[in-house]
Amino acid sequence: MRRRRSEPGPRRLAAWLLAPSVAILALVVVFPLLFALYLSLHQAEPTGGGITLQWKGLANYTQFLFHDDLFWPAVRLTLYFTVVSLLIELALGIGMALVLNQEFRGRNWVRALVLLPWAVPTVVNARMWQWIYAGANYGALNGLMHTLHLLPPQVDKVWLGFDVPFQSVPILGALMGWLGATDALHMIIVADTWKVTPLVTLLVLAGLQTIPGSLYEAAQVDGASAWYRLWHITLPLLRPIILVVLVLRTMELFRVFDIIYIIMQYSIRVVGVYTFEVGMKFLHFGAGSAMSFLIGLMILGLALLYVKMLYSEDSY
Amino acid sequence: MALPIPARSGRFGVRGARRPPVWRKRALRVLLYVAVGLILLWTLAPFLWLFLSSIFPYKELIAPRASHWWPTQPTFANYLALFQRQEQTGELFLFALRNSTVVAGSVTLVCLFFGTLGAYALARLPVSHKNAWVLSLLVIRMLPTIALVIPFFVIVSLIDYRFLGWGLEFHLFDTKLNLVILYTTFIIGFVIWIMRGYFLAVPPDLEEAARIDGCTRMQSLWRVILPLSAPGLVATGILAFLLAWDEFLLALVFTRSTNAMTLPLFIAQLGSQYVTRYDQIATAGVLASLPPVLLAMAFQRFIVSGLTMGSTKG
Amino acid sequence: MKRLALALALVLLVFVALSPASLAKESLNVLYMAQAGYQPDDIRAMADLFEFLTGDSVNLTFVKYDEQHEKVVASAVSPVATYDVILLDLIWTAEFASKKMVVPLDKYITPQMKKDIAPAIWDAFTYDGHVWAMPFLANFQLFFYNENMIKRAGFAGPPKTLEEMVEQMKAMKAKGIVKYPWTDSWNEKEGLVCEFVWLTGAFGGDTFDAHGKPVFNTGAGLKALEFMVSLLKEGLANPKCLTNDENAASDDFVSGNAAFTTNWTFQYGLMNDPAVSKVVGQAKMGLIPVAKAELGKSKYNTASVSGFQGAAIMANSRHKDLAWKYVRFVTSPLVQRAFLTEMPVWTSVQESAYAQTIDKTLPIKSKEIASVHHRPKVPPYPEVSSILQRYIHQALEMKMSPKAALDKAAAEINAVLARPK
Repeated sequence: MRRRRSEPGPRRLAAWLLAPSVAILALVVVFPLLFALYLSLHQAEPTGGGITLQWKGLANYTQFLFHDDLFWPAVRLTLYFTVVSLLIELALGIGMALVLNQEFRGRNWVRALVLLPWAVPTVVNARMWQWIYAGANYGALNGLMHTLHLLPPQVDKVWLGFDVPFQSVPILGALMGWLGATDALHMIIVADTWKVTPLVTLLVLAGLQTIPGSLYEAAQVDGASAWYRLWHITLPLLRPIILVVLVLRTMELFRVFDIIYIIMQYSIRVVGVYTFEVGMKFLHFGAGSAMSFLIGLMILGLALLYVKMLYSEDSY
Repeated sequence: MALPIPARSGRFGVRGARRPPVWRKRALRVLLYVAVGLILLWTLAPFLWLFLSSIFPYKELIAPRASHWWPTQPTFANYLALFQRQEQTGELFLFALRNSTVVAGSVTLVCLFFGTLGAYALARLPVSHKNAWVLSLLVIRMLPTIALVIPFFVIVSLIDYRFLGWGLEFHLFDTKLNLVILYTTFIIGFVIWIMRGYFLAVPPDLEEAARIDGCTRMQSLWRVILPLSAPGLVATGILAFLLAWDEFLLALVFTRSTNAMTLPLFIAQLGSQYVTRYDQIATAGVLASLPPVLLAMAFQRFIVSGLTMGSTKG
Repeated sequence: MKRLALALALVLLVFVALSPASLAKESLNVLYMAQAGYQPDDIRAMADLFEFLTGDSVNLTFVKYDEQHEKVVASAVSPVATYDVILLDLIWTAEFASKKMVVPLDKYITPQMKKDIAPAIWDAFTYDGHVWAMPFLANFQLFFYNENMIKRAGFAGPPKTLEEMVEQMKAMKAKGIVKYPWTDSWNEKEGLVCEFVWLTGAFGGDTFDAHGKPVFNTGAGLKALEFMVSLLKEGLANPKCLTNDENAASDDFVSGNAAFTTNWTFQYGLMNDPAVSKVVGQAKMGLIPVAKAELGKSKYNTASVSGFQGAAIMANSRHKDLAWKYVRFVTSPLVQRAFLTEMPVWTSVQESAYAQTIDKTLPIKSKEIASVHHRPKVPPYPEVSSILQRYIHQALEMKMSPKAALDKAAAEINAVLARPK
């Protein structure tokens, strides 16, 4: 037996190993959060050579929750963005995963290529789609529409425009208007979906590969149709992974900022953009912090839901 | 949400175990390849268009698209221009490229080092309130950056005031160090979470064997566990690098000059002068995408396993 | 051993990350915008000469106009000046002055300098009785028209009134000369407020009164917005306007997709540059038309909006004297004579025979600059502007009537202005 150097007990060692990470997180996450809470109870504004603080109590919070014209519309818009994106991502992701799970030539290549959009940086993605959507005759999407004769040659659609879809449909139009949905928002959803679907696809694909083939064989012997197999075997068994994707993506979608800010600046006010406007453009650090906190709370709610699901779905 | 549990004795089983006819099989085959083709088209077309745009001469780029899908005289002038130090845009690009590489690289190394140690402790050692620690990691990972930007901004300003008060010629604002520190907020928790998953997957017997051979805990981590979870280390490293490479909001708020400006910021600001030079934007976009895209393609398997590990159990 | 190497590499990398933060001896940091105005190359040339003359170095940073304000404020809050000299847009004068982010320049300004620059320009940079920036860029909007299209539509020359312009546009549309004769920068940004300000001027009014209180919801302001909406409704204005910033509007005009537009002075050079413009020789510059009812009420029968920019010195700069030398240099009549691509701010340069020979458009520019209307000078300008942008845009999207939108905007702006500081 070789000489064992004196080492601390396991508990001691664990504390030593965890200490740097815990210290870093306390310094860069916990402390700033507490500080944000402190700021949110003040009116905090920058002046040349410092920041002035003035106690306001909960006024920043009540302002947003009860008196602000933009806060609730921003929440509604963000929820709409989140839900619609999620539905499209899930449908596309599951569909693509089902296809990629089949046997075909060059399958490994295709699976690798599918990952490409996910790797493209968010900023590049935003500027790329902005260019594709260019509302003049040199825009690629307009060009495609002209080439396929889906648009008359003289007409160029303004893809990032502010028309409310289904405006003329009685109830739906009003609902869309109330939610704040516009053409531009839908186009951004498409752009964002392009980037994120590969992630969903690959996660679902990983889930599909864990389903034992014997289940399908048994169903085949029973003569179950493809549709039946999908609905009664595949989807139920994918449930845990779909739930995980659902919650993960909800949280990421809810905090969307980059792509909307780059393409539309402040003209589509989702909560992330609105917080940034109040905090970093108007420089109301107190009010901005209050809104950050409100968003943080909403996401915390989602996070708890997620944790609960992770630990109750262990049976699969 | 509740879906019916698979019914094994299906009512739909009446047709029996008949084989599907040959024509049907062929049709399905064709359908499959069409679907694969559509998937590839949807995935690749936008990025291909970005690349094509980067080799278009500007005047052709703003010609009616329906009759100008290919550049008649493709040019790589935009690519060369971005590597030209003497030109304003080229200089900025090279600075941004350097800053992005340094920042993303440093963050990855720092987080990987400390995160792995922490992950090992949480996976293998007795820690009181372990579940609470793991859960709080998860919650931290989910915090939106936007919620931290404002306090960060105020704190960084105040710290710089302190430095100035002490007469130091040093400040955090607009430095790469500052970005490295801030980026750890969302990367270190992620690293711990994923690495813990990989460590849990290593059979404990192996470590026990090493311990019996006289290894200390650290030696067994170094010689047994880490080599066994090497794919995990690679995947986590790449994912952390990509997260840092992609970051925009913090760079937007905390960088001012060539000192620390990163690629995403450079690209977001490109082409705002007089005419919107989409050929230039496309060129920079392609170049900025190359490192992550190549990494993702080369390590596809590792990355998928890392992502799965990261989003499911830890 | 390996572990040691790893740790070493780690430390090294962190050091690399740290190192370039070191500061040079006497160097000035200057923030300039990479948008309308002098080209970065011109600014660099000015700085090179300054470096040669003084032996100090100048670091220039160029950012988008949209991000300029945030960059300046963030730099003002931090104790170590990221910038010594900044380009100050006139709309920020009140905010930066009241928050003491920049220093007053009164002690540097001689009576001679005071006399040689128009009072309207000085006024833009004066707040609380002090001058906060040295006038540098005399930016303002001008009228641009495509002469070919006007001729083909059967008219002799450019319109003198807005009504005449509408008539010409309807003829163009009817004859299929151009799909949308009018383009402009009407996206939800600062540019929209600028367009609204000159249009309100063209209807004979101002958007804010002398005390900085909103008055745009009645009279001229309301007519202006109704005019904008009517252009969209009749298909005369390109629906793409709602997503255009100044560059995109300029793209429309120089690619031959519009007959009329207004824009800043930079467009003159751009539309005559064969490398990017398809309307060289057809595109002309003139005075912005006013409403028929306003003819004869102003000196030159035109209205424009001011976009003056000055050079200001940050309060936290540690090289204030050197900064002033630099400001004095780049804003001097001497330098402005050498770079006539932009309108000089000095009256003596504007009127010099030399400048008049080089720049044939100076007579037009002088008339237009004498007819500018200002945006309000209030400390919370970014918020005020954002409210105005949002409601004007709502009206342009046809989601609110012009009257309702402007009333709501005025009410919200009053609330912001009344807020205790």
